Amino acid sequence: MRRDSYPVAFTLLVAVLATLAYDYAWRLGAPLWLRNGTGLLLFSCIMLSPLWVYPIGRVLGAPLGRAVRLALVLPVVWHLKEMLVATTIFGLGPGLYTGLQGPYLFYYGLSFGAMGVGHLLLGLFAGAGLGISAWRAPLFLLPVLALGSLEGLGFALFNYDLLVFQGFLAGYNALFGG
Amino acid sequence: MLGVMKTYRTEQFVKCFLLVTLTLLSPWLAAAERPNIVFILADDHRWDALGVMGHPFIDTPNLDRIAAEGVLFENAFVTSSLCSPSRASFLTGLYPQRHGVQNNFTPWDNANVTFFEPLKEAGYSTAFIGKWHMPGGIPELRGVDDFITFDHMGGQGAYYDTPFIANGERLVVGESPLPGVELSGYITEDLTELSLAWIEQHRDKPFALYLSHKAVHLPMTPSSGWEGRYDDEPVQLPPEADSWLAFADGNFKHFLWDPLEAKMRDYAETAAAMDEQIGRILTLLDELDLADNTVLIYAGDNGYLWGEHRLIDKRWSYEESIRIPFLLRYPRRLVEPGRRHSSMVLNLDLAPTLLELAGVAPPQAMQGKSLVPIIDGDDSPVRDAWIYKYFEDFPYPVPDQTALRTERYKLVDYKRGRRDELFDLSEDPQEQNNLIDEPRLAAQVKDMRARLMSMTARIEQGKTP
Repeated sequence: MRRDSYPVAFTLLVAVLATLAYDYAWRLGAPLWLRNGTGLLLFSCIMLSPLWVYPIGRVLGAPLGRAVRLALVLPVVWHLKEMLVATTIFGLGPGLYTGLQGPYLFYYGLSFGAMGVGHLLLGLFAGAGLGISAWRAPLFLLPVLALGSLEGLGFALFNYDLLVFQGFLAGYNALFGG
Repeated sequence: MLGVMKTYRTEQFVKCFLLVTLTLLSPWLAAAERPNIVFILADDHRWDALGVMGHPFIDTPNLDRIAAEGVLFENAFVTSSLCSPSRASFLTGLYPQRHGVQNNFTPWDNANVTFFEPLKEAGYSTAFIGKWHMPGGIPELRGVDDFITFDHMGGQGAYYDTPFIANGERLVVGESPLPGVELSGYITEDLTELSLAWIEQHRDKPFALYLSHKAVHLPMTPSSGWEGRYDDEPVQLPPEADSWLAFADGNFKHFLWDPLEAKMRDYAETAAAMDEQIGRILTLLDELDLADNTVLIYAGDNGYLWGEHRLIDKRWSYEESIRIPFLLRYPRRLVEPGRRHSSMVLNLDLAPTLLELAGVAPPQAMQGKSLVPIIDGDDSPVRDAWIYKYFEDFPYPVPDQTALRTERYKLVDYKRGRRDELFDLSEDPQEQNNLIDEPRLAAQVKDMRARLMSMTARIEQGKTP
């Protein structure tokens, strides 16, 4: 395993252990504070891992593209897990389609935003040594801005929620006749 | 002889006069005997979130009063734990398989007959005030004189500043559907104000009012007077729950997005705020001297999971989701007020009950059973089993499921995505031990599966199972 993969590997391991503890520790009578703690750890891994996986990966030698891919590992794993659960409930096609629902898209936007924050911090404090410019950090916000604009415009112009429910469900009905 | 003839003629005249008078007055007399009806429906109010049910801190003195003066149905259920299907069952007395509103997207079929129609034909003044929230838009509901509702936020309405639709006419925010009624902007208060005014206007002849609250549905916003009242109350989560459950697995799709304890306090405050408004209805009925001859029913449209089974929301066939509060008060007729009735009753029993109380024959198609014998003091079981159905509601991560609920057992048949379940409710009321593979219960499972299928078939055929 390459050194730059260590952060994501460690985060994945923590997330798996936290999942086990969070989902099952109550059966062993674990106290609420402990279960809440593991929950917080788990959600932090899921929601914020790009915040540290990306910059540490860069520090450990990953170029931009690879650092982004590494930072997306945990979001993609979680997203696939969500779709897998959905396929058991709705069947293969609709289950996979659930993965296109707005919250998941915004989740990727948030992940890129977290990378942007990491990039900004790197640029400000270690930029010279790594050749990283803090000025590029706002580019990481483009996905979430694009998604937000799309959803906002839908509301503003047509009073239509494109990504979260209305448009998403229209797509479902068109594809699967729901 | 002449005197006898004269007396005979006078008697005949008096008899004829009385007969004609009675014939002419009979509709009026019958109407005068008919009870008024006030049906109050709450949204997502689970069965035990009431003072009278032993909740540790929710203040519901007015609902408690209805229970004290009426009958509390301890085992009341919905046949589908979701707003739209459940509401349609209350109105029609039909299972969702028959009325067609299967989830929050399948439209209301206005060919459905609601309890309003026969009531209207029997001379009632009728009103539906509040949350309609069934797919397919706002219908022209037959039998309803005043239909005051909203389609704001997809029919959910908002706790503050919801614009009303009055008999099809769209009003702007703050505009009152009834002249002279001032609106505060908080929906529970506004719906109550409108109901109070409507009752006052229609007090002189039998009336049937359906007050359909938004409370206590998400986002569970209490009125300003109740906000923060329970901030210091300790909240006990179920053993399997934790504070972050609203974010876990698919639960985030319900948009609770708060620590569970905080949201449970909001829920309690919103319920208490609603109870306060229900108290105003009780007071008005007292003041107008109408309470004695008014059938007052309070119910929830479904239950709510607060972390049990590591779930939130409703939909599932677990007890917390399918049980509802169901209180009935009718002082003029109810035997032994303050009674608790424990046999299983359903949301679809409402319509035939109201119609029988009003002296109107329920449409034959209705699948619910009248609860009038219970009002009259007969505590025999209403049914020994019933069918629960949750239709897939994409993209909410809850499997399509059908359940057979008996007094003791519950069999849950999942279409896919989950192992079927059997619970012995007498031994395991929290439904923690799935007995579906228990060899000693194999025959029980087989029998229940057969019964589930036969009852489902009868329901789908439009028969009473």
